[in-house]
This record gives sequence, C-alpha cells and structure tokens, in this order.
Amino acid sequence: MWRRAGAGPLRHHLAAAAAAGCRVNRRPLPPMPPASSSPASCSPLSQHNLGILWGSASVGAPFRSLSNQSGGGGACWSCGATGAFLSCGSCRSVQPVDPAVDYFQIFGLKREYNIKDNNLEGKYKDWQKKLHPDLVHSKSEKERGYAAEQSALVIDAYRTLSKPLSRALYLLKLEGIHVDEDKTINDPELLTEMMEIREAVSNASDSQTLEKIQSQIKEKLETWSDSFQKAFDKKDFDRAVEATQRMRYYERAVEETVKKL
Amino acid sequence: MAEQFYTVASDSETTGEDKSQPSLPDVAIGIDIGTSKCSVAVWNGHQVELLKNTRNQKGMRSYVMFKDDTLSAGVTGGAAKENAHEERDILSGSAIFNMKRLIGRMDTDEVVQASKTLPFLVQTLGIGVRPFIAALVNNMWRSTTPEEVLAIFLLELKALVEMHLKHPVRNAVLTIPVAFSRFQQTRIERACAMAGLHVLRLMPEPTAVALLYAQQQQQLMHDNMGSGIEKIALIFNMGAGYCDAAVAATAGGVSQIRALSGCTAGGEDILQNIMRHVLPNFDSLYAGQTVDRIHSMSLLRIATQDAIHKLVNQETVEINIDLGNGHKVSKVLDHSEFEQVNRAIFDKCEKIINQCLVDAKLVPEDINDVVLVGGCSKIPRIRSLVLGLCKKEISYKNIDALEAAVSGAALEGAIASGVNDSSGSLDLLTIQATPMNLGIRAYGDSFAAIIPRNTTVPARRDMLFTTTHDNQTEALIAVYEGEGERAEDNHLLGYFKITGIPAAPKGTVEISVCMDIDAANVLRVFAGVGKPQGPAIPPFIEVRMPTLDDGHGWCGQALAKMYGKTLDLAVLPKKLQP
Repeated sequence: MWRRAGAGPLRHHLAAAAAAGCRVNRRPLPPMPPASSSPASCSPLSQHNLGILWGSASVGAPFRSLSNQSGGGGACWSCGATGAFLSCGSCRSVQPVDPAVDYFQIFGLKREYNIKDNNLEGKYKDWQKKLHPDLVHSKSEKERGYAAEQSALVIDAYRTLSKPLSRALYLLKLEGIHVDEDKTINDPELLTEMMEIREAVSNASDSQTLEKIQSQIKEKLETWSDSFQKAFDKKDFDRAVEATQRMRYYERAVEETVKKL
Repeated sequence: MAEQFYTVASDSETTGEDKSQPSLPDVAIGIDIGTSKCSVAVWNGHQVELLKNTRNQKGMRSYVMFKDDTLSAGVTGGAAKENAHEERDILSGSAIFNMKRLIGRMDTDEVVQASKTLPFLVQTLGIGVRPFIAALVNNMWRSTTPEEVLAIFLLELKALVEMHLKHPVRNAVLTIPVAFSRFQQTRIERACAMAGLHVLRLMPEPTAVALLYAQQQQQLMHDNMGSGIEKIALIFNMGAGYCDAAVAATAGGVSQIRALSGCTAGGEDILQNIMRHVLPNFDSLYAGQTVDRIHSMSLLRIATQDAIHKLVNQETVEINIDLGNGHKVSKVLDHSEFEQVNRAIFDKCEKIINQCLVDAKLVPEDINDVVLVGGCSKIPRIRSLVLGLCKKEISYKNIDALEAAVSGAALEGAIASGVNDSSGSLDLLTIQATPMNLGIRAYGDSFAAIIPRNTTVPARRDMLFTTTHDNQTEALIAVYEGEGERAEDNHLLGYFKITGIPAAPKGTVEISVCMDIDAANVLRVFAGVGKPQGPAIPPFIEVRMPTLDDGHGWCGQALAKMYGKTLDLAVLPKKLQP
C-alpha cells in the first residue's frame, strides 16, 4: 500500500510516474471548489441554478439545447481519450453532463416515436452500471458529482422514453413545441366520452366488466398513439399535440380502471 | 449520511485520486438488526461470511440486559450462561428488547401501544411524544431510550467483529424495514454514531435480498446455466416486527427495484394474538406490572412462542402451562384456529403484496421467482398466501431465509467500499426506489405527494402551489412522508415558513416546492415564490430533512391548530408531470 503512504503531492507524482494506463495519465487537476454530489444542493439563490430547477421541474424532462448535435462524445476529462460518451470507454471515468445530448442518443436510438422496444431497460441498466453513484463511491468528489448527474439523467431518459405519452411530449419539446397540458377540453364529443367512461368505471361491479372497459380504452389509446406518429412524421404539430392530449385523457382513464381493479 | 464529524475521510477521498483496492479495514460490514435477532456479515475478500458469537450463534438475540452497574447485550449472551435460561432472563423485566419496534415512534403509535404488554416498562401519555421506557433493576424501573439500547447492542456487535477481523471497524451497511420513516432512519444513524459506527447505507431489507438474488443470477449466467435475460423476483420478508415486499427486475447483475411496500406486522403480533386467544383475560390479568405478573406473563410468552414454532411442522400443538396464582392454560391449537386468530395479519401481508404488484405494473404471471425470507416465512399459511398471490407452486430455493438480508448488506458494504473482485462476484448494482410518498400539507389537512413512492433514486420532482387567501404573505411548508391521504396520517419530517410573499389575490402567486433525493439518499426541500419574479422576492429556502428531533406528533397538531388555516396552500393544477 505504498500509494496510500505518501503525502498528497508526492502521491500524484509517484502515480504519474508509475505506469502507463489511463488512470495515471491524468493531468494534475487544479483544486476544485467543493462541488456537491447533488446538482440540487447548489444555492438556489443563483439565477442560473434556478433556471435548471424550473427546467427539470415543471416538465420532468429538462429541455436541452439542440444547437450542438455532437453526440459522438468528446475527450475524456480524466485520460484525454476521445469518444467519451457519458463515461469514458478507456478509463471508465464518468464524464460531466453534456447538455447537447438528448435522451434518444443516450439509448443509441434515432429520434423517432416508434422505438420498437429496443431493450430499453437492458441499455438503461448497462448505463447505470457505468454511471451509478453507488459504484463510484471511492472516486473523487468531482467524479461522484458527475455520476450523480449522469445517473439522474439516464433515469429521466429511461422514464421519458419508456412510456409512449412522455416520449411523444419529449419529441415535441425537442421540436421546440410546448404542450399546454392544462388546456381545457372544448371538444364536446370528447367531454361526453370521458364522462361516459367515468360513469361506466364507477358502475362496473365486477372485474370482468372493468377489464373489458380497460381494453376498450387501451385500444383507443393505441389509435391515438398511431395518429401521433403519423402527424409527427408529417410535422403536423397541431395534430400531434391534439393526439398527446387525447392520449393523456385515455391514460388517466386507464389509471382509474387500474385503481378499481 | 451520518453527522459530519463521524465521517472518516481517507486521504484518497480528499485528494480525488483514483482509489486502488481498499484495504480490508475500510470495507463496510453488513448488519441486520432484527426485532428478535441480529446478525453481522463481512466480505472476507472472496465471499460473504457471517460471524458467530462465542456461543457459536449467527443469529444473536436482540436485547440489552440491565444489571446493577453492568449492561450486557445479546451478542455475548447477556447474563445467561446457558441458552435455555436466556429467554427467561430476557423476559424478566430487566432486559429491553424489540428496540426496532420502538425506535423513533411516538406514544400515540399503535405499535408502541401494543408494546405495553412487554415485560419491561413502556409508559405512554398519548400526546405524540416519545414513550418512556425502563428496565427493572433491583426492583426499580431504570429509564433508557431505544436509541441507547440499540447503541449498547451495536457496541457489543462491533467489538465482536473487531475481535474476528483483528482490526478496527468503522463503516457499516444496515438493513431497515421498508416501513421505516426517514425520522426513524435518523434514530438508527444516531444509535450507530453512539456506537462509533458510520452508516454508509441504510438498505430496505428486501432490497438487500434482491442484491443477493442478483448475484446468484449473475453467477448462473457465468456458469452458462442462466439465460442472461431479465428476471423478475418478488421478495417477501417477514420477521418478528415488520413485513416487507419488493419487486426487483434483475439483469446483468443490476437489480432495479420496481416497487416496495411494507407494514408493521410480524411475529410479535402473531405471538400477542395467540397469547390473548389462549388466555382471554390476558389484558385484565396483566394490567399493571408487578414482579409476579411479569414472571407469569413470561411463562405464557415462552410457552406460546414454543407452540407457534412447533405448529410449523405439526398438525396441532398443546399449550399446557401453570401461570401461578391459580391461573392455568390448557389448550390445543390447530392450523385453522391459528389462521383464524391471525387473519388480520395475513390480510395485511396480502395487501402489501398486491400493492407491490400494482405499483410495479405487473401481473403474477410476470414473476419468475418468489423469494421468501425472514423468520415468519416458515409459517405454512404465509408461504401458501404469498405463493398463491404470485400463482407459483414453489419458492426460490438458493437463499437462506435467515441469512439473506445480512448477506446482501455485506455485499452492498463491499461494493460501496469500492472492492473489486476478479471473479466478478461484486459486479453488482441495486437501483433503489423510494418506499413512501413524500410531500407537503395542503388544503388544510390534505397531503400533496411531490415525490410519489417507488420513484427511482436519485430523484427530483417539483410541484407548484398557490395561496389560499387574498394578500397571504406567508405560507407554511410542512413536509410529510407516508401513504395516508390526510397529512396527519403520515410522518411529519419537518416544517418551515415562506415569508415575504407579495400581496396578491389568492390563487395568483406561484409557490414552488422542489424535493430532491440525492445519491446518498439525503432529502432536501427547496421552496419559494416562483412567480412573480424579481428583486423584491425573498430568496428560496433550502432545508435538509428531517429537521425534527422529537415529539413530532405533538408538533404536527400544534402546527395545524396555530397555522393550518392562515398559512395554508393549494395545489396549482398546472404543468402536471407527464
């Protein structure tokens, strides 16, 4: 355990001289201000941080600028190897969050609605194994901070992409379209339908009836999901937004049946 | 996680240098503090090893014996030289046990109320302050606290580990019930700090078992016996004090906790039910603790406990006991009677399993393995109930029901300490989820959940609120944790006020409340005026929770009475989460 014995600067020196391999290739870094492991623990007084707070807050998926569509990964802060995306391929250091990376890139997917379940959970777990803060416990404060942020980002990405509605909303957001989810229903037909569903659910006395209602709603959800995809592909964003609103109503209706089942 | 001055920073942590393999003294030990029994395990460089005490026990009774000037815990066996005498000594009134049921609970809590039939003194005022507990020493009640008792126990446990390992120990991973509130978690941390242990992690018990399961699945894959595809396990754990369920999705050594649920139902409740069943005038007979009554009750307790154990393998069991003072119990108990008497407990078990499946959005057919652990998992009715709900014939075989949680904790200890194992058996990860809703009080006594239960950690969510009065300039943020729809049904974690809200008609100001759980499971609440913005608006407030120290039941009521109406908030129904 000679590495532990030396004093700080000496250890750096020894380590740098010791071997090849990326771990020791690291340039000595200037002392970092004590960054917290949690992005939220920065003082909320700062305007900048408040911005982040709101961004991630009200929509669940932080909006990321698309000006720089790199996505291929940059140089590793630790060993300098190129192509470091979220985590460095050669030295395994967790990289700082790159705001230009979108959720689809994280999962190696094209930016489209129909992702045909590309083993999202498997990829999500692979990332967590590289990024999760629990696994970098003995790393530097700085890298643990990166791990906390990256891991949270991957969780958000997984959560957002794994569900059709949130995936649809995220796609719209990437196009710069904000969906006002509070918009009241003004389509009398839909209004009547929602009331009918609600009534049917509350009147349903056995689980068979409920299951039947549920599968009917799910079918409609499927239909609107399809029409979202068509509209989105044609860049008919008005129709796409309408489809997401329908999807939301049917999803709530499904939830209600689940609650009663 | 623990208070700052107990954190031991190794030099590699402060310089930011990559750490090589930590030497074994730095590896955190795993501790399972059970209501009835405790165990401790360490990663020995190759595998997890459970440590035995001088009496060759891996599971050591959880109690502390109070004598004239000496205290001794169940690790070394207390005052008793022989195992047979141990139980009688524990029940003499001089020992405090069931710490895990009492720690961090108020005297209005039903679990505390149920503990009043234990042989030591549990006194309550029923106003939401901590109960008074005391052990009988020389015919006098000597007061103590659950934290203190636990700390004494942990100190003895730590000494045992250090004797085995021949070096000092400072870091530990402890398992806790899913139903433990964050306030209770701070009590566990406090007890550990008193015993000189730094808590690296507090792991819900079924998630520790999930980690062990993930390791075994990974091993099977390496041996080319497993398929490597995702496996879903339902883990059900029931000990003497608590009952928990978890659904974990495991692939490639990564275990994602999909859902957690738990409640306070366990072997202790079953025992009390049976005691009341065989002795219907139990409560009147043992009201007021005299030495005679304590002795008599201990005889009943031992006989009943024994009968419950025998009933696991027998069709019927006979309880024959002379309780003194002309009171005798003579009763034959069979399974159907046993199940009848404990129906409420089995219903609770059923409820948490169903809730877990619903929350995980799974049906029984999705489950690959049912893992049954904890002492009560031996009870036939519990086994058939869990397997029935999961539509399975048999449970998962390769996990020891009593050693699983502590083994998982020791694995987590090694992983969190940065140990690498060349064989890949530590190439594991558990992705945790929040066991309970976290939110604030709104609309009078309602509870607005901001981080819903079973949210993957680390997590951050926020919610917008608004004023309920015209020109309301202050608002109370009372933070709660729990499953109840009313704030008062949940655990109060802390509170603070937002002041300087600009005068405006009600419902127009945006108050933002953000909750953040970081990688170390620390909860922070940020709150302030979100709209309007500008230099005239006071800064946001950041509070690390829980802030409460004690008497929080009392406190919650006082808050509601004093400020419930005037400083109330309403949810702003806008920008819901997708």
